[in-house]
Amino acid sequence: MDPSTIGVIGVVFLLAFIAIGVPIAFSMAVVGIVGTSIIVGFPQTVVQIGLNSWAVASDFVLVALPMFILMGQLVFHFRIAEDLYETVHKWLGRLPGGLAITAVVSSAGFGAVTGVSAASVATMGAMTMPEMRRYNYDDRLATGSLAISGTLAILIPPSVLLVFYGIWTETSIGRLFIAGIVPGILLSLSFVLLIYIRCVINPKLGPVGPSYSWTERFRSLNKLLPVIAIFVIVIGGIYLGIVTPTEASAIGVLGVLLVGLLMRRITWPALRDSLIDTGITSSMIFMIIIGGHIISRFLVLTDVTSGIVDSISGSGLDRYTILFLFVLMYLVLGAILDIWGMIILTMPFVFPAVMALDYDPVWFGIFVVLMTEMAMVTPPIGINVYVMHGIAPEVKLTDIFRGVMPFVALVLVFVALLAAFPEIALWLPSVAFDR
Amino acid sequence: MKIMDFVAALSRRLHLAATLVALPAIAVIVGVDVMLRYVFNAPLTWSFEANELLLLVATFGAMPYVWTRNRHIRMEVLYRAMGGPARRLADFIAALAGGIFAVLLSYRMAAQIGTMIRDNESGEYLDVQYWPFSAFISFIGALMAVQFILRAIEALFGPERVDDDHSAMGTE
Repeated sequence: MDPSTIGVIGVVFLLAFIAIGVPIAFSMAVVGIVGTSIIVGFPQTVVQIGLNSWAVASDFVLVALPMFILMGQLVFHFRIAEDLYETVHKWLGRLPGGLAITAVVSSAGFGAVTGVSAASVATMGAMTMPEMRRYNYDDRLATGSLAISGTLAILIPPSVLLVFYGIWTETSIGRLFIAGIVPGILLSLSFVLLIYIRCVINPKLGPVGPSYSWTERFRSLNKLLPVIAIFVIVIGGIYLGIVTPTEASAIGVLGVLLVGLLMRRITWPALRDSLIDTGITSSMIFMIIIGGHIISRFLVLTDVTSGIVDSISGSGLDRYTILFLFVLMYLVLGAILDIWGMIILTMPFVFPAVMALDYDPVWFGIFVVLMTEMAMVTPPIGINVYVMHGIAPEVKLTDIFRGVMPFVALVLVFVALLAAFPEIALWLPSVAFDR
Repeated sequence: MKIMDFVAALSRRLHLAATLVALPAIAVIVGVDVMLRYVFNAPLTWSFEANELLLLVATFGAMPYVWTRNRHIRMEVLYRAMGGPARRLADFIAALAGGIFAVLLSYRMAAQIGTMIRDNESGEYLDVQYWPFSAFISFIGALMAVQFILRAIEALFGPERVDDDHSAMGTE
């Protein structure tokens, strides 16, 4: 049997295993192991497993993954987001749809110090939902805006997903982080604008919130300092080239600990829970990377990857049509896989194809994150929607899904704008790194 | 059941020991290294290697517990729709897939210990032998293999599992 046939059979088995619920990491590992054994022999395959596992789990660059996850966990457990929310609320709560707008802006701010989306929804949802109830907010607007706001955390740096993408595709994590800033701000503003316009047209959707004096507003600004300080240390350090993204991740952890110490919010349970969750999440991601490496090597041996790339680039379709097809593919995949699964399964095929079509790897990283943002709020997986439902169980799941749809449409429009004007993502990195 | 509980408890302790020590240590070492580099122009030469080994410990130390907590990413749409026998088969295949990886990992890491000792493999700047880490990963692989074997047996002969069971290895 020739290698390409073995490769195709391997891919079929991989998809079958994933479909029946075998963990993605082990599906990739076992198909890679069996396939590689057939092609190069069992002894060499076993050596590869050892080398791959050791290399992945001891790669200094990958230190950034657990450190950024830990940073997000600490921010979550030290209740730094609550201060952020309080300040933004005092400034924006009075606008039509002010509470929903507060949630979006606070989530964007929360995203600047953490890269974990579901934590953002859980934190903001628990704080905002009771108040939205008090002001008779429309269920769909309330839950929809909260669920979509959480996704901003994976676009605005530091983003765990961008670290993962950067490692997997060997793209500069520093550039990816800086590239996420402008799209993150623009998307946040778009969400704000959408909420504002909808509530101006129909004030019942989101009545205005309480008003605060200017003194109270200005006094609340000091509560923003921890978030600003952490963001400046981490992203400022990367932007100015003082630290590498990996170093910035560890410095960020120490920065959050310092903030927690100054605010007297460090408790043993908070520290312990943060470390335990970080350990589990990181190990799970590392297992995916190990499995991904094993199957990637197998696919390279079989020429399946290059075959797919050749057929895509030789299809005669223009690059925008192919990109549109990728959008459709990610929308479908987002309905059946979670974000890690989506990325790890598609990258070995899609990334080389996209590079062959002359797209920028940094730009594509932002594109992929936007795609995963939609996956986090679209049925049937939509993890953020389920987290939101856990916070507001009285609101039907279908209503939450309907509530996020206007925002999803906005993200799609934003993706189109990003394709038409790549500078939205690429301008700031070029200013920072190509001086 | 006793073996399952023992393995679950062991995986939890390993995870706790690995993450509670290794992760804070990484943050501190990197922080001190950066500070020394900028303030005294004297970075820690061994920090790179120390962090790599600590990452290795944290990653593999938590791996059996990830399975215990059923936290591996999987597609559940079809799985949840499956009836009893089909689900048992799916669980068995999952355990088999994980088991193949775990056994080979454990074997490979054990097999290279002799060479590592003979060649005195250690860090360039950090005077730490590598073979204990290889032995540690080999032990983790073996522990995971036991988990997968127990899971495979449970899938074939055990009681039917409920949907929202977040513990794949019995009680913790």
